[in-house]
Amino acid sequence: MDLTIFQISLLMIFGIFIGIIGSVLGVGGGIFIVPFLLLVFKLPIKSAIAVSLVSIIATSSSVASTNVEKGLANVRLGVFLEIATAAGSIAGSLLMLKIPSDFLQIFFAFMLIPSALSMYIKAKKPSMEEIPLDSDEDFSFSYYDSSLKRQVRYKPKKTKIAFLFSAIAGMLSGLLGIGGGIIVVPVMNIICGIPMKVATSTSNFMLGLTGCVSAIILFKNGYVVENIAVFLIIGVIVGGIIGMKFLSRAKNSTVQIIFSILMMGISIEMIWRTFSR
Amino acid sequence: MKKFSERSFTILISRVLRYGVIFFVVFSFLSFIMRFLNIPHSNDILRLAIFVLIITPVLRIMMLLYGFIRLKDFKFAVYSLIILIALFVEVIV
Repeated sequence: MDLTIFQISLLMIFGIFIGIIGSVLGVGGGIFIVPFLLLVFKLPIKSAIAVSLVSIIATSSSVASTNVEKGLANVRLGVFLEIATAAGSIAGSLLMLKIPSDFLQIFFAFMLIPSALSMYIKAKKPSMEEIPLDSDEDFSFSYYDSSLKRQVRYKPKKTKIAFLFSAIAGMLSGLLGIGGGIIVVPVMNIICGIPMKVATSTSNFMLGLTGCVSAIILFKNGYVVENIAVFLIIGVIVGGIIGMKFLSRAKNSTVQIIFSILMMGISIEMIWRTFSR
Repeated sequence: MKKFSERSFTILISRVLRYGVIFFVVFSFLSFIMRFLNIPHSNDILRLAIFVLIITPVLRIMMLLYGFIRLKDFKFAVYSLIILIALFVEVIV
């Protein structure tokens, strides 16, 4: 497939957008990439998913390499929750045909609304530094917050509940074709109570692994359209660098507000899509 | 053997990810140059670049396993091993 200069620029600009939301919000952006490739490049669905997965891995690897070094991504918490998402995605692929996906989509869309509201309220009314009683020593960690200009220590709480939700995220990622960041980020921020920037960075760190197996299988079967993937990925890498600059200076509450708007948007889009069929 | 600190661990993990991305960038540019000069197999080089990029998460888990063992953090070494096994199960399922 030969691309025109216009198509190449379009892919790179779109990639920059995906890289920015991936690094700032900790989501892979599959929900945007797949329709973009279907509508603009007229790719068949399997190729669109394949290119989208490759791009998600690119966002994760390029951004996480810096965030892990900076201490912004909590590696131990990420690994712990990855067990859940991996197990969930195996369960999801086994259940695939048994749950009607319309029902699932509506259920998921309605679950997003209270999460978005509670995150928005949290951002508007920053709580006092509370030390949770049942916090898990294993995951306590600190990062340097450039917006506060100090080291911030935190201890994630209720990690077992977060584990459960991550398993659901892994399951839904197969069933609904979403990356899971949209679930994992609010779980880490609202339930575990960890700073928003750490939640998005840790989610971004985890993203690469979730789609990795599917990506390898699709790649082996020739579904990855190399020409399209390569320009998208270059954009994603550039966008990731821009987004990281923003994230390190941003306030936790700013990221929370942007994320809650994203959740509302996705919820409305999902409800609209289901009912307009 | 040099002491393996928490810091060396973080650097190891971030390096694996970074090298995967750098490999991709270098080889994809190489493939552009090859195509421009009409050298054959430019698309194979591009495929290789993409392949290395998509296996970085697997390499990252392997390095986590190695790193946690070196740190003697066996709980998390077991966690990493479980994920690695889950990935193989996923391939079969």
